[in-house]
Amino acid sequence: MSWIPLVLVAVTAFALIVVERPGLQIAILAVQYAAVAWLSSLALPSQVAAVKVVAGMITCGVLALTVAGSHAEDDKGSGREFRVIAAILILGAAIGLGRTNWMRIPDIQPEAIMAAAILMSMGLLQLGLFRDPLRVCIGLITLLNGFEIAYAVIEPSLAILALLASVHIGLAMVVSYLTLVAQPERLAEDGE
Amino acid sequence: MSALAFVFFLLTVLAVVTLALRRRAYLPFAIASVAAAMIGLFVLFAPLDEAISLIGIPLRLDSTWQILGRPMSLDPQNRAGVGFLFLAGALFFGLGWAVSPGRSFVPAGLIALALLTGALTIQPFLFAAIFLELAAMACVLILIPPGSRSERGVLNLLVLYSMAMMAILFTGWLLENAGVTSVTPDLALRVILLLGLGFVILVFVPPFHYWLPSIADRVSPYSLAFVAIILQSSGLFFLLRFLDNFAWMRSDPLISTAIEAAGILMIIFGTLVAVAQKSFLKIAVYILIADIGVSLLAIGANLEIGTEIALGLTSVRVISLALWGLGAGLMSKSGYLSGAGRAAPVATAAALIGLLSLAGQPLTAGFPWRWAILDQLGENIGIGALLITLSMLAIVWAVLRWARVLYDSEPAEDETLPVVAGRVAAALLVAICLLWGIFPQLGMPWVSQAAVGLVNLGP
Repeated sequence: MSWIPLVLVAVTAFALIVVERPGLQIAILAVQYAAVAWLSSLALPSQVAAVKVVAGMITCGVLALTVAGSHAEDDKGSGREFRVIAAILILGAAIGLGRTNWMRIPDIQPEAIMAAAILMSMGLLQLGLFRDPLRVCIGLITLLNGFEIAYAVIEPSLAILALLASVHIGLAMVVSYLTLVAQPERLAEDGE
Repeated sequence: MSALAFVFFLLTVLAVVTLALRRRAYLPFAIASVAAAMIGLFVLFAPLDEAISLIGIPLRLDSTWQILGRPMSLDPQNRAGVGFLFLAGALFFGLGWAVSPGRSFVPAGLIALALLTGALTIQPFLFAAIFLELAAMACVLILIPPGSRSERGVLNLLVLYSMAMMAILFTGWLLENAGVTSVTPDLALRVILLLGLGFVILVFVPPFHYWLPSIADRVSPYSLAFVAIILQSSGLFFLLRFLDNFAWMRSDPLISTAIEAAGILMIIFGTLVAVAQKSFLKIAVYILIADIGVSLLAIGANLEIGTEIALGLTSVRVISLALWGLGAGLMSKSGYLSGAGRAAPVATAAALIGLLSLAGQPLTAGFPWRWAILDQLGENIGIGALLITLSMLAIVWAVLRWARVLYDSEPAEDETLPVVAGRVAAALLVAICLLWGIFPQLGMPWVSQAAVGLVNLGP
């Protein structure tokens, strides 16, 4: 059954690059968090892995409120066709990488190492493609999610889980601040 | 009572109070400055783990605080670093009112200091990477106050610190569980590469410094100076702690060579770009990079007092950057081009002296430690000593060229002069910078305390 979250991870990571509507991106990110928690439960007790879902939902909630309160246009980055091709290429490379234990972590499930490779690669791709704070934040979260799937195997402590959860929530709050409280870059440029 | 719990409680109260007072001009800066100075002195000198009597009340301050099952501890290895951060904060908070760096400067600055304290005191210390990432988030709030323009550069800061966090966390696991030593070269190389990635980000080694120049002329120079000093110093303390804790790292020639090479690269790169720089605000970033390069050279060159020199350079960097930030912040009302020196002579002089001090020119605070490293390197004249000397000469030429531009023409009629109090603050800090250059022993007690804590890095 652990192939289900793996497929979900790949689909959501791909969709986050292609989809342009901010609200839909956040919904996809929420599904990704659930899939990541499922994969983390391969190494962690389910109750502990549920912390990831809770932190993820708080993060998505903050981002959703940010999107609702902002009037910024969607960041399309490069053209959609380019993004689709880039995402397919990177996804293919990540699947190739994830077939081996590329991080050399002992006792890690094959699905977990594959998911880590996919999320980290696609997260990096998002960071390279977009400059809007919301999309950069989603890219960073995707990257961190991939890292945390692997890291949960080697460091299953609750304290670290809580600290990493605070990083996710903190990122969402900083992006919310930059979007709502500080003057968005695009609006500032229009005003000049 | 735990000393750290007390510090964190105090910082929380201070952050809330200064947030409530954020619209007041002077009060939050004054409160934060006095409180940060007191916390700094408390961290440096409070007797820990022994019974004391305070106004007749028996008291015992524990050095350790348990939170979420993890201990945070004030020990000789980190007390000087934590104390340094608060004293640096006290200086920046105390002078901040003169340049109005934004309403979020004080509360976010206190939060950043709290998180960096967490980074330096958490056990095992490898988890510090997460606190450094959280501190970088607080620094975004310092750099971009409410209503200011959001900048891509601060997102780059978050991206870089996230990557550093992942690299260091993974390295931590390798070091603690995979049995890495000098006799496991394959694993050791992986650790060095991953750790190298983490540290080049934390100490602003090019090209991972790029977030700094990308925002240098878009945010308050004073805020940038504060963020640069607290983040970079924490990164350097973290690096020294790594070297102090792992014997195989200290003895591996690859690591010392890599640190030395990074230092040399930073000196060359920082100097060349500073000399060619056309932005008065960006020049400070590149002189800072060259200065950090000198610190890394001191650590990597296996000098007898290399650690002391690196710590000494870090201590005077606070004064140099505060001076530059204050001067440049006051100048911002007059612009940074022709005539600024005549419109705001004291502020311009402060900014220029700050740059000269950052470059380690004679008679400034930065000079004695440059002299110390030149003295140590001079025993067998090599590329390091030559580069430092050339760098100092090139930067003094670049700064004098800027001085000519800034003082050589009449100011525009509509330029606003900085307030008198700001000019007095700038003049006072110039005096401190010059005094520190003449009496470098003023900073020695802190350097000695910090060096004593790093027992394995001593001569």
